[in-house]
Amino acid sequence: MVDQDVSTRRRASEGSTDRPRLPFAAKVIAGAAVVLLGGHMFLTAVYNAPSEELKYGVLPGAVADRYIRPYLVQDYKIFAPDPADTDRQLWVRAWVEEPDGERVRTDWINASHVELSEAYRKTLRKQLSVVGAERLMAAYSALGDAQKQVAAENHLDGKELYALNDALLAADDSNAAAVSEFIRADNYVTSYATQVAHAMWGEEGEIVGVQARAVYDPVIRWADRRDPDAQRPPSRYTDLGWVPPMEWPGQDREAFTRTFRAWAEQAGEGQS
Amino acid sequence: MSTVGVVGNPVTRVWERFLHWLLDARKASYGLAVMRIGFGAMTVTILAMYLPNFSYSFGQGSRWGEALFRNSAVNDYVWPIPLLFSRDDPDQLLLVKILVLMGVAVVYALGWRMRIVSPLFVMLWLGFAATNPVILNTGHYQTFRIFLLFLLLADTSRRWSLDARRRARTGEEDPALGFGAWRLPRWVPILANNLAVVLIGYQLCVIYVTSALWKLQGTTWVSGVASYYPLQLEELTMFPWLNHLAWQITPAVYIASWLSVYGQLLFPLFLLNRWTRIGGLILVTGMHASIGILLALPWFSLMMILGDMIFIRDRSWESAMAWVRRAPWKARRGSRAPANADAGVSATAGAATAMPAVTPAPAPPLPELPQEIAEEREAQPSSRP
Repeated sequence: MVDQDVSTRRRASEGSTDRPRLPFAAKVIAGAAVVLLGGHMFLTAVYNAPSEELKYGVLPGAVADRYIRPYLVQDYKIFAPDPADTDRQLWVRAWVEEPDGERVRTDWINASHVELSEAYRKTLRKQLSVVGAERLMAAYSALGDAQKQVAAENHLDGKELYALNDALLAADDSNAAAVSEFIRADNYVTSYATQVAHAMWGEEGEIVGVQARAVYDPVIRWADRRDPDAQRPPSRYTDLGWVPPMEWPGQDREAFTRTFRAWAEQAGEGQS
Repeated sequence: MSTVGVVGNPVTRVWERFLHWLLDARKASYGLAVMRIGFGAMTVTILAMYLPNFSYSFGQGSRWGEALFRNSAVNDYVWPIPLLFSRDDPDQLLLVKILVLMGVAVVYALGWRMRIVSPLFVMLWLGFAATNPVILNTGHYQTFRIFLLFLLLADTSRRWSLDARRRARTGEEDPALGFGAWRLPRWVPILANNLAVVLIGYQLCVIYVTSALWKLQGTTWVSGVASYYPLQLEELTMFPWLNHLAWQITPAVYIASWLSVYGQLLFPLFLLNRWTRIGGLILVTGMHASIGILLALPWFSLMMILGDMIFIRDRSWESAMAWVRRAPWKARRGSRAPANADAGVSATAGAATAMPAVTPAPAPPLPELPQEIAEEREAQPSSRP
């Protein structure tokens, strides 16, 4: 009885008698597939290595990057290293030339608050203005002090952001990559701000300038959570001057306006 | 545990067993079906939610974002994907294309002719990403794309699908692929399916472990207050009163933070043993469910929960279904004879190596079902031993 048990177990472990025989071709192909699988697993792990030095210094990080892009791009810094503890917002205001020639400055509008006004839309991430705010804040933070001073001035002459780009490089040309990243982010938020300006104030006159601002507004700190009088810590923001409006070919102002105004009314923004 | 007297060294034996695991039968067929149904339904729902303002997000109302669209990797997809959607399409045409994509997603969920529909859906979905990569090439959509690509290898319509119903009707449970007189060997689709299962399982482990390793580099996760902050963000708050309630009990915030990090970190180890696997799945599912509800991330959470379903073996799904069919609340009515209990279980209950199921063990074998009832019970061809 015991002997029989042992032999049964042995046969089962050898997997020869109680299983179908595998064709030779199947074994070869499966073996090759397992090798490829191993390569994929290794490069996926390298791509996600939780430290730059480890990824590019010790492991073949560059090879992994080439393997992963564009189909398998992934990023698992979910709420990490620390979760966001600030509301990221994009604020917009415009400089409007009215029909009688007078130029007026509008109030700020919190575009992110507008985009988040429909509860169901919160699940449709990410909000475009929040992406803009994050890109702008990151790119702005990477600029040098002299460049930040330049960015705070107005650059209304010429077209688009060329004047700002040239002024930034004139102030400090040691970090050209950071400047072009900043210009790209600024281009994105300025183009968005232009659409917001047309949607909210386009009927009042011609939009001659826009100003966008990424605002990081911290929530009540953990230590103050039980204090009913607790104040939010002061906000951080990007201090940018006025730039000309920017519009792209094919842009449909009407379509943007329909949606944005409906949300703005719901959010109670821009009613002043 | 001595190996004396057994032919072949341990490495060879493990390799042989692994080859049989890869080549003998399709694994996780129920879990893959759940993924298919969930992914299709999720896509339809998300697109339906975007529809009222589709131009603002993807159409002519969104062209202002070109600065970030231009250099996105989604513009480099292989031909013919870039031809399917274009940022030059007028809104009317884009709307038609989105509706087509939704229709294909419905068919994907239903599991009809999946060998054609699965690649078609993937191509349309990837093509759609070009309309606004700022949305569709970030966040959970990246992982969604990875899973969809892996599912191309899998036989996702083996269960709970129109394909399975058709195969059950024609009696061709596993028709061989081929053209004319030439037939692909039967082990090829089995191997592809099981590779997909390994790829998805590995990807899930990578997601959990790397996100835990990133979190451990922060201070708030280690100190335990991390889960408080996202609950306060406007962007992530669906139900303010609920979020306010969630951080009222201080120890609960600490426990939620630590469970999240260490549950993720140890996830692969949980998978090693059956009981820890059940515990681990309950833990991460609970984590995803609370993230989905409290932090306005239902789609990311749902996608992860659906992916985790492949870790539940077919045998467990079958015993669970048998248990539901035999459930006491139904037996009382007497309308459904307890004879309905089987079909799905009969093939597996007798397996010599069967582990105890999560649910109560099946009753003793019952008489065979009449033919028409067996056919009615669609999409459950019994697996061949």
